[in-house]
Amino acid sequence: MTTACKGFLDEQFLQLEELQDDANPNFVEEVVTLYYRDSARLILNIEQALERNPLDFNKLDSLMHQFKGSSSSIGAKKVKAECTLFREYCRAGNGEGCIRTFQQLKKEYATLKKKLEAYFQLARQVGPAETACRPK
Amino acid sequence: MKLIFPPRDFQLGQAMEPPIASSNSSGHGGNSSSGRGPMHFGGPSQNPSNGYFSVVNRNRPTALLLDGDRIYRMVQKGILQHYGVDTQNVDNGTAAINVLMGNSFNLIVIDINLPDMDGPEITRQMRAMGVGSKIVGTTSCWCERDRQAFLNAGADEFFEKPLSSETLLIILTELDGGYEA
Repeated sequence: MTTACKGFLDEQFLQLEELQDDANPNFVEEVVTLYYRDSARLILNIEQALERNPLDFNKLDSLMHQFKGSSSSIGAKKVKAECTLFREYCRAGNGEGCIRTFQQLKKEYATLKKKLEAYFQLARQVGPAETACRPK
Repeated sequence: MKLIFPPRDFQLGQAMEPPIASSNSSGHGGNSSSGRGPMHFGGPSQNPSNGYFSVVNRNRPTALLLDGDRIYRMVQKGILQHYGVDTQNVDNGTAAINVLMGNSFNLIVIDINLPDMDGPEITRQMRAMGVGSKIVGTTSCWCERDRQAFLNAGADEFFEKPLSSETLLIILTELDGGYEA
């Protein structure tokens, strides 16, 4: 994990890197690519749900539960934190809180995507051993 | 940390020269590199006709992972297999029941939210079928109410996803037969 990614990713990302081997040399990038592909649909669903009046907080909570699960699977620390906050607002029935948090979530999501793209580009240039963080 | 398991080509029920004095009372051996003999699950049993001990050896431990999220299934399966657990994924409760009709697993991991039914409900159905596997309920957001629902339905444990290495080690160590790291 490069310095640029620190704070945005947690130890789960390191676990993913541990799974990379000769048989699965691009495992992390494949998982992350799938994550951004699948979660784009979830984000759209949440956006549409946030446009409804009145808000269906159960539906929003359920969608965010799923999104949090995916995000935590790749170690997306800040995205996960916003998911948790969003769900708290859902439980409180606070629509404005949900909308505000969702905007922040999308920012963190986009920022992480850029950082990961740069990370994988670097990994391709120097090789995975140089960029992965190996526990001592 | 790697968990050591017997090689895939080890024959089930393969007889071994008696006795293996270094085996402990629970029948667990060590890994071959320590000189204590191959690791196995279950205890040795003696054949009365020839006095030879047979090691009832299961293959690598198995797990069934039920989760509606493709990313989580991919990651968790990878991690479980990294720890030497042969893992099968399904994405809904009905598919899980069908798989369990003809297969058994040491471990079943079930998410609280499945597309066709919730985790506690599928747990209840599995126990009603007589499934005796260790069942672990999971959620992406820990909640006492969900924990109680899973335990009341017959699950053994409940954790927030993703399962950390430490949590996985605890779960796998508690499986029948035990593990050596």
